[in-house]
Parts: sequence; C-alpha cells; structure tokens
Amino acid sequence: MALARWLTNKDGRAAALMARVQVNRVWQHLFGVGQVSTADNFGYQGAKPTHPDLLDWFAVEYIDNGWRLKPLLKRIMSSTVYRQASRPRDSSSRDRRAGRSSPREIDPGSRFPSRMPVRRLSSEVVRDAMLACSGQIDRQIGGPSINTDARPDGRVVVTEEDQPTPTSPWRRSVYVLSRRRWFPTIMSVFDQPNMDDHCTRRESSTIVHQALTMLNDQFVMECADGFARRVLREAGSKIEDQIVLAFRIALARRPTTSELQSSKQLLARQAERFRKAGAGVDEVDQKSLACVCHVLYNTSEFLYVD
Amino acid sequence: MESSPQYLPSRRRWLRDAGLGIGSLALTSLLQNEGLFARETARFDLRSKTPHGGARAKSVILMMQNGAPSQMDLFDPKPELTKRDGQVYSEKVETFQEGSEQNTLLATPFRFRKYGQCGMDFSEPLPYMASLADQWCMVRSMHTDHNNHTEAMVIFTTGKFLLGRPTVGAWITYALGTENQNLPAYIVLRDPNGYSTNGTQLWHNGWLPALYRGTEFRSAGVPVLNLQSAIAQPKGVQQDNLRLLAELNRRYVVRHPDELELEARIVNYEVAARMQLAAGDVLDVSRESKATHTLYGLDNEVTAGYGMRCLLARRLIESGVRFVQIHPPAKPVNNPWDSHKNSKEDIEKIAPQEDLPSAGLVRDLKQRGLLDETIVIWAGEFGRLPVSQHSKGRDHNRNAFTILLAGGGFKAGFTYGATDEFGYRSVENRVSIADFHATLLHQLGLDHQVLAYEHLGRDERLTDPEVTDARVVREVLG
Repeated sequence: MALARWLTNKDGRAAALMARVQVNRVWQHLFGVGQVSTADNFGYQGAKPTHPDLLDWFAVEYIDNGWRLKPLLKRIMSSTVYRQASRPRDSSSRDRRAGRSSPREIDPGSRFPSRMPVRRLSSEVVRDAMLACSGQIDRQIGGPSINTDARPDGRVVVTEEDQPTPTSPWRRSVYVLSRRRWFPTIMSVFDQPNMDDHCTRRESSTIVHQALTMLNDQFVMECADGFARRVLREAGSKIEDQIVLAFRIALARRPTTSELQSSKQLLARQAERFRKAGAGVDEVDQKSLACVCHVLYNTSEFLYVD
Repeated sequence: MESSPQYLPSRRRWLRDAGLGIGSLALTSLLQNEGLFARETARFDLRSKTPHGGARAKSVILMMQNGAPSQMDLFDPKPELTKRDGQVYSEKVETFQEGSEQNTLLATPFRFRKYGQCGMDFSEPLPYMASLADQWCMVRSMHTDHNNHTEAMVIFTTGKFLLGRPTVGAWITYALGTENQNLPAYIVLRDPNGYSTNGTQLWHNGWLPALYRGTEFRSAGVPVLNLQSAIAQPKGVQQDNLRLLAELNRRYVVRHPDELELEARIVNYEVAARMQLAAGDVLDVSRESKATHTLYGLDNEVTAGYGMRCLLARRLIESGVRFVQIHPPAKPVNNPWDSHKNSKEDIEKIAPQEDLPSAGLVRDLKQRGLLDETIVIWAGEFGRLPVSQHSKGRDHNRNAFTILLAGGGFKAGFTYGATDEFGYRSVENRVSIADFHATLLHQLGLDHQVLAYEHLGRDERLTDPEVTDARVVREVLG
C-alpha cells in the first residue's frame, strides 16, 4: 500500500516517471513503437523520447484524469495522428516548388509519425481473427481457461475434448492456458512471448514457420473451411457475391476488379480439381471457396493493420 | 551472404576495460544512446555472420543424455569406492529422492579398462564410444546448481535455473546465423515417441526473437511441422493458391513500399517451398551406403531409432545447419539415464541403444573431414551419488559429473579435471555450466562477454559473467 501511495503521489517524482512510462506503453501499444522506443528503460540508459513535451503533456493529463486509461486511449485514438493513413506521403507540388523534402524522405520509418505505421497482428489476435472470420468464435467473457494438448507430431493445440461447452475450443486466445513446457503452435510462431519472464515489448518476427503454419496447419485449414461455409450461408449462390463477401469479412474492403477476376479464376480451377477428385456438388462449392478464404488468411493485408 | 553483427559490449565491461571512472559516465550514456538507436533499427535475420574472431568450429551437435549418466559407472573409475563397498560414507550426501538413507557406498558393477593410445577410462556398457577414446575430450569435473532433471536441464541448456531464458542453440543461431537458408538454422531431433519432462523448453528462444527457436525435425514422415498440408488436397491446389496469394501480396507491397517486413513475408513463402524439397532430401537416407547404415546401427532395432537421429544430424551439419540437438529415447522412460533402481540393469537398458550410433556419428564426421569444424557434445545434466539407493541404484548428484566433447578444436584423447576419491564432488579443475558455455562460444569464435542481447534494460549474456565468473577453459583446447 505504501508503495502504491508513493508511486501515485501527484507531487512526487515517482508518479511523474510512472505516468510517463504508462503513457509510453499505451503509445507503443497503439503505434507499434513508443515515443521512448526502449519501453522498459527510461532515462540516461534508454532511448530519447521522440516528442518529450507531448509525452509529458499526456502524463500530466493521465494523472489529472485519476490514472484512468480510457480517457487516455480516447484522446490518442481520436487524434489526427492516430487517424492518419498508413500509405507513405510523397511530396506535394507545393513542397516541391518550395524545395522541401517529403514526409517520406524525412521520416521513412514513421517514427514521428508522419503516417500510421503498419503493424502485424499479435499472436493471439492472428488466431482470434481467423476464428472471427469463420464465424465460429465464442466471445464468452471470463470463466475457466481452455486447456492445450501436445500432440506426438509436435503440434500444441487447443484440446477439443473435456471442454466446458462444445464451442469452448473457439474461445478467444486470451483464455488459452499458458503452460511452461508447451507453447501453442499457432501463437508461438507469431511471437507469443514465453510467459516465464516479463515482456514489455513483443518482437514481430517474420519467419518461414509463419508461412508454413498459415499454409498447412490443421487449425488454419479448418478455420478456412468454416469461413467458406459461413460465406455460402450469408452470400447466396452467386460466386461473385461470395468472393466480395469473403474479401469484406477478411480485409474489410471489396476486391478490385482484377482481384475479383483472379479469385473467380482460382475458384473455377480448384472446383475442377475437387470435382475430378470425386467430391460431391456441395462439397466442390465449399472446398473451392475455402481455397479463396485460405488465401485471404495468408495475405499480408489480413495479418497487418494499416 | 555475410553481414556484420551488431553486438554491443556491456556497459560494465566497457567501463572496466577502458578503466574509466564515474566522470566518464555521461560519455558512456551518450554512446549507449547511439547504440540503442542502432539496435532499434537493426533487423534480425538468419544470414551467416562473421564471429568475433578465432573460430575453430562453425557448427555444433549436442547429444543430450537426459537422466544423468552415472560418472562412476561409466567414465570415472573409483577404486576406493569399490574397496569400501557397503561401508557407511563419512559425509551425509545431498539426496533428491528417498532410498539413500543408509548412506552406504556402492561399488560399480562394471569393470573399467583403459582405451586408445591416450589410455582413457571407459567401463563395459560403452564399448563403441570407448573405441574412439583418442577422439574424445573427457571432462570429469563438471558441476551444476540443481539436482533434479527438469531444473538441471534448463540450467544445462540456458545457463541458469530461471525459466524463460534462451537456450545455447538460440544464442549461437542469433550470433552466427546459418549457412543454408532452405533449412532451419537450429534443429532438434527428438524421439518421435515423446518429450522429456521439459517439453519444448529445451530449445526455446526465451526473449530472443522467435527466429532463433529450435525447430523439431522428425525422423520419419513429414520432417518439419506443417511442411505439408495437414488435410490432404488434390495435387496442384496449393500451387494455385500461392499464385493468387502472390498477386494479393504484391499489391499490398506496392501500397506500402517502405515496410521491409512485407517483402520478407513474400520471400518466406518461397523459402517454405524450397524447405519442402530440402528437408525431404535430408530425410531420404536411401542413398547412404550399406556401410553407413551399419555404422549408425540402422539395421538393428535396438539402435535404429537413435541411430537415425545421429545420421540425420550428420546430414544436417553437412547441409550447413548451425546447431543440431539430439535427444535420447523418451520411451519407456523419458529420462533414460536415470538409474535409481539398479545401476547395472538401468544402464544396460539405455547404453546399447546409444553407444554404437554415438560413436558412429563421431567416426563418420571424422572420415568426412567434418569433425574439425563441428563440436560434438555428449552430456547429461548432472551425475550420480557414490552411495546406494534402494540397495543397487544411485540418486541424483549435482556436485560432479562427466561430459564428453569431440572435434571443434578440443584436445583429443584428453581427460580433464577430477572428482574426490568416491566421485561425489568435482575437486580438481572444476568446470561449471557457465564455463562450459563460455568455452563452447569461444570455439565458435564468440566472446561470451561480448555476445549480448538487451532485455528489460540489461545486456543479457548466455554466461552472465559478472554473476557466474564464467571463464574459457583453455586447458581443454588444442
């Protein structure tokens, strides 16, 4: 209690530091990198803040708001900075005439940030996003965690047996039990940190196992099947409508003309393959559409927020 | 491709080496800031990297012997122990389980002999490994901090008892990258029938990027997890899917030309396709000669399982993989060297499964000219007690154990260090796990004081030299 009082004593130096650290963590969460890039190391040994005055201003406001995170999040997320597009900004004609450099030249890594940085989904969200697209996600809040199981082939998966309800295996990843010895495959390839130690900033690796997992893992393929079944249910029988809906669900936009064309071609070719392999009519529709859904899961656009 | 590593010397070392006082701290922090900025923009990759200097070896095979092979029954003869068999030991030993309360000394049930020109000691259960005496460097003075398997395995692989730290294989991959981009850099060959009590902890990247985690490579079927579709599909389905994917991903890169990760993601799908071929090739041992199959014991069901993992290790090292970790049989017991009940019977169960293939691997590396540049380690996580447990077995002992090293610039036909007259404690030229790690890194051209990764504001190192006083054991180096 004494520690808590000392840390939050408005007039003390500890509170000033704690507020800056906390504000910086929130900034890091929203922008990918904090104003102080070394989120766990402030001061002489850490990196300098990109906008010290702004950080201080937020810290003061955070304290004045009674250390509540919601007003802080609202303030940042409704700002012009947060609402920027993520595409690089080249010089405007006025800049060029005035001989000024473009935001893209001045701030290529978007540290200032002259555009919204592109961020990869974190491990838990990758799994949740696939479940959400498939429509299978169980959004129940709270309750016991869901157990995992290590399979002989090396996969660590959510157990299907002995779950509280039939849809428990499709609960959000935050409810997946963390164990010391086993790391769920789908999440560990996307940098879920080892729970035995503190993690103040996650790495965002780009490793070949991510490609292998997204292409071949049973969970991903089953989600793609579920995704296709959902689209068939909701989009009606026109192939074009199905593809448009799949894009809208996965990428939150309509496909371009050429994307629609390519997707239709893929669907037709895959349908032919499944037909030749002896699949029934309904199965052909579902499986060929699942191919498009599976491709959408694999796109960078699905795995990154821009 | 070579790229220069971005290691930072630790603050403390920098200060110490430069002999600087407090007045220079401001300068240090200035430099540190530049360093951190460099790190912030550093990208992690697996390209082959130049070590700090003086490398004698470039790859490592760690043959992990979970369960703790008994030093006084295999490598470290103790005539005094034999002479005083059955007598109560003067010192109350530190035990782990029950069954050793009598504290009575237990002679080894095996006969020792001297092997090779160097006259290295081995007992009866390991005749093939013994026949290679002139290749091994035997360290008899190892000691560790914990006397249970799970904890001691964590110490052996990560340097500390604390969970969540990177394993030595992850550190080495982080430092050196790998020479073959079509195969994982750090490969784990475990018994397909199961894991040890540590599960997958023993090849975890800890807080290093996931890039440096060990990849399990199975000796039958599909070698790498998710290398092929989990659900069977007609031929050509995936290739066509990949074509649409490439189109969509290229469009996204055009929209975000400054995000290098997106380019890397596209490349990874190409690497994934190449890995399918490369990993399949490694697994296809059909073109290995009959003599090779025999050398590794593939023609005998007792040795075939472990032998296949040893042969795959050679094939992987040959293909440019940096670090290969072999694990012992996991069935019927997952710590097979754990001889609690009966030293003789327990050791005679596991030794024949591993003896011939372990020796075969070293012999094969030697005849192919790979041994000079490959460090081979044959080691358990701790040793066993000189007193009896349940009358004929031995309980855990963290105070002394023996490990074997070969190749990679270690002195061949050399025995180092000694235990007391009963084999309870390492007493002469003691080697800690941190010393062992420092020496291992040294042979790969890496300075254990310099190789660092910043975690929670501290330059973490594998050996944590300020805490452990780790030193390179130069006496075992050729």
